[in-house]
Amino acid sequence: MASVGVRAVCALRTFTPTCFSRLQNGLSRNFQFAVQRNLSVSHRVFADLKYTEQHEWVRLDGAVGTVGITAKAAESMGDLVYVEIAEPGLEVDQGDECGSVESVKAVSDIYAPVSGKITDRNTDLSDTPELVNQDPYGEQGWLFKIELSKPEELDALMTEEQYTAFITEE
Amino acid sequence: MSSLLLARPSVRLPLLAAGRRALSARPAAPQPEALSVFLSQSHNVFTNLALEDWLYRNFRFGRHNLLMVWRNAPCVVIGRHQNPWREVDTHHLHAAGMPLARRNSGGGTVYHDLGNLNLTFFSAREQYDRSANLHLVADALRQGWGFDITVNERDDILLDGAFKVSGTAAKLTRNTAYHHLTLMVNVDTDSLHRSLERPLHGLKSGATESVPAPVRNLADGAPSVSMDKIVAAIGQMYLKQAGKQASRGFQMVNPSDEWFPGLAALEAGLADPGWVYGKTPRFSHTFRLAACSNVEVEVQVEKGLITSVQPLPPDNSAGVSGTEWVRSILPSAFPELLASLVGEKYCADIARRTETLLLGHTGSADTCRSDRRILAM
Repeated sequence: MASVGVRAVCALRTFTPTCFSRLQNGLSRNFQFAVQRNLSVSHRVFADLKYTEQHEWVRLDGAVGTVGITAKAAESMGDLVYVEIAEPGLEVDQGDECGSVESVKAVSDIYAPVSGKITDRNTDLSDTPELVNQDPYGEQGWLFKIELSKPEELDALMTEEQYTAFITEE
Repeated sequence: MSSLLLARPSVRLPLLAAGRRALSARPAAPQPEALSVFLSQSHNVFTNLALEDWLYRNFRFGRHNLLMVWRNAPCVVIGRHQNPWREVDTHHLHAAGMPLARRNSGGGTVYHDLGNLNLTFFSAREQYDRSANLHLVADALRQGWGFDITVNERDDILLDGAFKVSGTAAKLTRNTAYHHLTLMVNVDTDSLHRSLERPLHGLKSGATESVPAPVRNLADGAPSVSMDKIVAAIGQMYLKQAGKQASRGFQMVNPSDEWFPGLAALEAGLADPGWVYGKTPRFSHTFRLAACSNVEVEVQVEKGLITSVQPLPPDNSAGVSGTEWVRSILPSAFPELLASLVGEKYCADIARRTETLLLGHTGSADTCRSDRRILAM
């Protein structure tokens, strides 16, 4: 599998996030779903994230996707003062409202980017919602995890390039 | 680039028919072709909040936008993620028969009465422009009465550079955005200050806190100000925005379930204590009981219900549990009775209830001095 290839190539080098991601970019064209990720990386946007028009991202890990909001969304909302996510166990369809984030400027709804069951939510955010602004893609700022019921929905979401084009067109 | 444009329709989620999420005001956003001002005929806060809810759920904004104008009989409205016990004197509200409502948008706590004007600007998500709305209101007031009105960095409207006459909050959903603000025309400020007093201390939580500010009425020192004239001035300024042919004028609206099917259900949801009190973010309340040798007690509350009541031993008490500590200083106390509070609804006189239980005085402990279930008037 791809993960074996990655480890083999990097065997002679220090296993850094940059090394991993460069290989990942090359491999992800051929592999639809993300390689088992062993490192937490918080400052790079990976090619295997998928994006919605509501400026949310999904990162798949096996059958479970991690969902968050993009840096652009976090920046436009301003510092978050409250994050509310639906309870784990809830079944949602793609596009269903499953939470809200509040900043000084507004309350904004969060939508499920894919259908499935919410398995986990980031409880750190109830005390420190600003983690979303500090680390929107990583281990600290993710919003919730969802077990996908229809993985094919990911195909219709935007890739990183499509998302970048989407936001620069504005 | 063109291949990406061709590819785009396939990535559009089927649920999204129109509009992209606007991240900032863009001059390219399409202008509305029609504008209306709706004047709600109800003074019930739950009905009006429900009407606001109904409009954003059921109307497709973008080409036809709306300004909703509404006023409420005396009540207090808290923001979506606030803690009512921290923000207001709930006992006073109950005694005065004033409802407490929780709105869907964020922001802080406001007192409403008929001297307060509420304005809600509805638009498509990409047309959302808070600053433009605030400046529209400021312009209307300046042009009509020559007030010294400014808009500060917190998006408050200030009179004479110092007094807050307006607070603002917004909600953004997939296709729609609404921005509402209050405007103090002729509010009973004594009642305002009394209702917004905060009798409880020692509450800790992640709930959003209000930022108090000195307030003033527009009518103070300006006798020509009346509610009707203010509504007319702001309404006309709003309707003029997209040109004369776009104005659909003022419309009286009677918010009834007949005209707005589903409104009654939205109203019931907003008035439900499970929403008003139950949506309070998790918090803890720590207090001392004077009649029990000043023992410190911590109560944890989640969704408005008590999840634990624990006496706290002082810091230097070396591994002694709270209950043991209480028994050591008050041999005749009943700390085990505190467990009976778990699962009960939290209310503002929790200290009195805890004290009563601890001292073994039964009978009056289980009834809160009713600061809940304050429904529509």
